[in-house]
Amino acid sequence: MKLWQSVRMAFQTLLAKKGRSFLTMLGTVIGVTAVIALVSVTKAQNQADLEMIYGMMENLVTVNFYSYEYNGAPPNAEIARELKEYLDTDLAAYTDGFTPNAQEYEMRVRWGEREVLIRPLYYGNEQFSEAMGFELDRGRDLSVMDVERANNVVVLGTLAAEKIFSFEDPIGQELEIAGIPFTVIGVYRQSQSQDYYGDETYYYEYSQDNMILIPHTASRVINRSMVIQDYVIKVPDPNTGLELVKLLKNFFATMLTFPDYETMSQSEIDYMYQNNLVNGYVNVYARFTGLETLNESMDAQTRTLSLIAAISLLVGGIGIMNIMLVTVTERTREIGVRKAIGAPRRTIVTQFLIEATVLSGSGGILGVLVGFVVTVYWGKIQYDIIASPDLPITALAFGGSLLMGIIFGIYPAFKAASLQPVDALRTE
Amino acid sequence: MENALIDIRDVYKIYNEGYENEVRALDGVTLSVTRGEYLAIVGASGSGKSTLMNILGCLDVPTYGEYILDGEYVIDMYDSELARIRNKLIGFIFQGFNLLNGLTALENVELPLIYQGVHGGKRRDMAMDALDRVGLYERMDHRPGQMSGGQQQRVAIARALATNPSIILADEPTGNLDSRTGEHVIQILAELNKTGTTVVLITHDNAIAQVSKRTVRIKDGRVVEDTAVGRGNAS
Repeated sequence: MKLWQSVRMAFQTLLAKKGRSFLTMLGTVIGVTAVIALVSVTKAQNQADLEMIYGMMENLVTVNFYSYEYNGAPPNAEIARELKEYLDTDLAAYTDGFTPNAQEYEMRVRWGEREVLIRPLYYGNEQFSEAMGFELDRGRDLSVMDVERANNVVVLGTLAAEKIFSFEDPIGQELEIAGIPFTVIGVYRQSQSQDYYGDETYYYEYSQDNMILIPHTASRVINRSMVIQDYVIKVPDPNTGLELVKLLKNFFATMLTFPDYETMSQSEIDYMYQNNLVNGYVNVYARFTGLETLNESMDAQTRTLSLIAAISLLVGGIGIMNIMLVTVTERTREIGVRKAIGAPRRTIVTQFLIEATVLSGSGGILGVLVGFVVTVYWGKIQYDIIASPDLPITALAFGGSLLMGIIFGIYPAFKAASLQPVDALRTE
Repeated sequence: MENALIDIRDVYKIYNEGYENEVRALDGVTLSVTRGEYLAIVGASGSGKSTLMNILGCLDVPTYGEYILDGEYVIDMYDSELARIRNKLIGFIFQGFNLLNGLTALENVELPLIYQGVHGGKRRDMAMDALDRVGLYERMDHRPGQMSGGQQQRVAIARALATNPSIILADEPTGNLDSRTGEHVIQILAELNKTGTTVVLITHDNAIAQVSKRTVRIKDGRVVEDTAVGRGNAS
């Protein structure tokens, strides 16, 4: 007998008892619905949470070098150069900007007769504005040349520009920082509104727009003992940041002068110290290290939920087995007749298996439809998010419902097939 | 009896053997039926005739004894082989018709052909032909519930002969019918026999048994009489 014929016959048999078939399917419907809705809504909710957390995070990876040499030249200058090259080439996709992150907490700046306190003065490079989130308003930004030649040029935050120059155009003006003349080449756009600081005084004191930036290579002329130890890398998103941290840790691990406390054993580290192989260490970290744990715990939560939902699918399967056993008893005579006129075991088994599978599969399809509706509706009502049904989970839940039909159909089907025709015919 | 279609030797069917409530439904039956015979097995209720019919039809297996059907030893056969034998060699007609109520007359008749693996139009033609032979061509789309008892039994006969079996086994085929329809059914069986089909009729009714060419009387699980009408005693 062809498969489609069996399926058609199974449908006919089930349609003949609509009420009972529907009630039996209900278990599977609820199971599939539960799996799809629970997992989809949870995933959507987790995604929304993550996006919110991403939004609150500064997407920065920080690299710190610490030198043990007394006030000496940074032991890391060479490494910093290599790091920059590495970031500019191989890791270009991971970075939105990379800059030294060193600063004078506050600095007096003179223009003509006017002396103004700015905070802070940044030592940066041509990627500073990208990494730190500034945008150019007028003039030009620092260039690679400015950094390489240690040009005495300065870019002003919008508040610093206003304080120093009032209504004059700052571009091209010369001002003195620690007695050294610097040429103003550009002004940044306002990066944070006044409202952020609450009151005006506070804004004027502490706004991050009250900053100026000079090439880090020009730091010597202002502060002889300035050693640049911190570097900041802007990443597109936290997950990329986590990847980058791993890559950079590997990168630094190849440089023996800096022990990596996370990957090296204590004896290895001790050996390096005892033999004066250590002249400092490097620390790479993201400000969102908790994210990995968060991802894991969200995944675990989804898994647990799907397991709980799968149990309801299992219960639905048991319901199907129950009703199939009843069906076999009710149709003992039919089975007897079929066997008498030559139906082999295989055919009887197939017939009842298909019936069970059609039952659970129909429940599965109905469950998918209800699951989609519940997902969208529940996501909207409960979390006010647009939760779209998770397709892999949908496929899994539907496949699971079919599997339940087969697994829980096997016992009744074999029970039917193993009836002796003479006994089956005797039944009234 | 080398050419016997049915050949059973010393067949016993014993329930609860060795216990106090032992029942010998068949107590050593030897019977041989040649091709083309019209045989009536007659016996009172409880005589063992139904057990004999079940064994002849491969629906049940004897406790002891041999059964050779169309040259094949069926005693040790697997379930699937027995199914094949029932399907190809035997056509059953039951007292209670045993049609599947969910299927139309045509679908009921098609069923054994489906199990035989006959497909599509050919199966349909064969089934319609069988219905035509019992005079129910016009009723092929009716379900059993929409037909009279006599019509249902004729559908059952059509189902039995659709596969062109060697043997028709009819177990009290007129038992649920009024006498006029019963006669009609018996007449159909007689016509079938004329075309060469072996017919084995099981009945408690001597009058019905008289249409057959040979009568085997069963009592207490034993053959007590074996009469060939018009030929004197056989075997």
